[in-house]
Amino acid sequence: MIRVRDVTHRYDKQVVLDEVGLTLPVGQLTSIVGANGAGKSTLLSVISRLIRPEQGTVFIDDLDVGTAGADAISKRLAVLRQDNRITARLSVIDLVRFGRFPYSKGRLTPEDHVVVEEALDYLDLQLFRDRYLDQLSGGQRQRAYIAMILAQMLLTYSPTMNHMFHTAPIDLVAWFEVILIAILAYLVVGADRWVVRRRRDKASAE
Amino acid sequence: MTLLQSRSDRATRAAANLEHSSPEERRRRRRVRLILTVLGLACLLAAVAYLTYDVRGSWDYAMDLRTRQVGSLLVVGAAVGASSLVFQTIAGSRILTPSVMGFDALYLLVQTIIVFFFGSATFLMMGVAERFLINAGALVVFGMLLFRWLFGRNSRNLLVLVLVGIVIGSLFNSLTSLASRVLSPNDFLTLQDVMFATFNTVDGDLLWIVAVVCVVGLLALVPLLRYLDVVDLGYDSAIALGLPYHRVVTLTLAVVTLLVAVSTALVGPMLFLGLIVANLARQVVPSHRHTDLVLGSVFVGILATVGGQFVVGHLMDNATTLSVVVNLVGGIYFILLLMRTVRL
Repeated sequence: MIRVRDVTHRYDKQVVLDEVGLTLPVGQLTSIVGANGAGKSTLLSVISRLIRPEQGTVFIDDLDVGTAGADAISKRLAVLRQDNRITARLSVIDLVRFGRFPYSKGRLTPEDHVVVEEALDYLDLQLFRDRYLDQLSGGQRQRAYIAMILAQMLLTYSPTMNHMFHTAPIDLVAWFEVILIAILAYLVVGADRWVVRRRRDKASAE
Repeated sequence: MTLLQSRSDRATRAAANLEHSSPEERRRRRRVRLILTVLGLACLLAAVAYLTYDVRGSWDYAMDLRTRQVGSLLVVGAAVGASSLVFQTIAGSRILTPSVMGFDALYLLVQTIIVFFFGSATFLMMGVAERFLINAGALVVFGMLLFRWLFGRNSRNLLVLVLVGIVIGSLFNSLTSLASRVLSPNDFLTLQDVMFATFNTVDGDLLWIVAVVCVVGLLALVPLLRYLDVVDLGYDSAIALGLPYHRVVTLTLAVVTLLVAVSTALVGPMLFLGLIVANLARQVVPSHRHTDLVLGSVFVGILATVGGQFVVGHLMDNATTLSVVVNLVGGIYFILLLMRTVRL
């Protein structure tokens, strides 16, 4: 569960997030919707701790994002962005292995390798595992990133999960693509409230 | 439980790495290893050639002189190679190297300021080693402050950073020449002496202390290499993967300033050496791992300095200096790189 509490952030003097609070429950797909410049991406950046807010806190489960160790958070929260510019010459398997960084800090254990293989299987990437990222199509590259994130989120190899994904690999891909599209379009519910509030503030100030 | 026990086991990990890699991957690993071996052997060959080429007269004398020369060339090559490559990674750009950002100009400025405030008498009373350590320490402190500030503000805009680096570099240079103009002639001579050490006359004591610092710097880099692989993914991905980004960047910058102090103390500033070496290494070594890349860059750096000085010193009879050649070739390369990336 992700809880955002009283988060305020401004760029220079422009207030983008004004005491925002919301709870994102487990097992649900949440969209954030709002007009351009309403602060949707800023909110996402704050949640994924790319930006440190001026005020307020974000909790992932019970961990305070501001104070908890970086690797503790990264075992529970993965971030997929729409633009990933990587200059290093990475193959798909290299990229997916980075997903295990929070667990083994770059020195992969046998378990990590199993998880990586699982992630490749789920996203049907075994054929491309040795391709370099710049040799992939845009869609294939996105799948590679999703595999990395999956490798980051799988705690260990678990037979039930294996079963679940193997029975419905297509569903999984589709499911991830929904999230992907959600993030791509920055569509998430709830932002309207702040947009409205900001407009009202502006109106009252005038 | 067995899994937990094996977690700490290096051999198991190595075996797992092997087991979970495809034939293609193993082929690529072998290729990287082969390239690194060839580079290493080439370095060795270059060093031996430099030592033994056309020795006339006393072997003892020639060996003594040439060993010191080769020693300093090795240290400079390794320091420049390693520092430039990791600096590129933390700057997130192939065009930015410590020299381009004005690191070695800062070293000279720090040295001038020390002479300016304490006078050459104090400066000369100190041993070569103490002098170097004080300079290097001051450089690390100032360099960290300056470049943390720089990267914090403009880290997204490459062009601004290049511009700022070049402006800062020339600012430091003119401050240095201003300070040296104000100095008394005696102080100025001392300063000239320290500032323009060349490969041909290397102080034995200085070489020792600098070599030790260089090795310490390189060793300090080793545990950071795995983290630098992640830094290469970009800020956002690195944070998402739980990398202690700022700590890694700060530590790396500290090592980089130390290594710049090493190379500048021995041969003075060589603006474009790092740029050529690091980019060449990235082209020659087909790997994303910094263990491979930094090692490759160290070898390429050594090849460039030892090989370059061999050509300039032995084959061309010192008709020109290595810095001139490096700056000529490197300057052209820098402009090409800029034009390709920025598309003016």
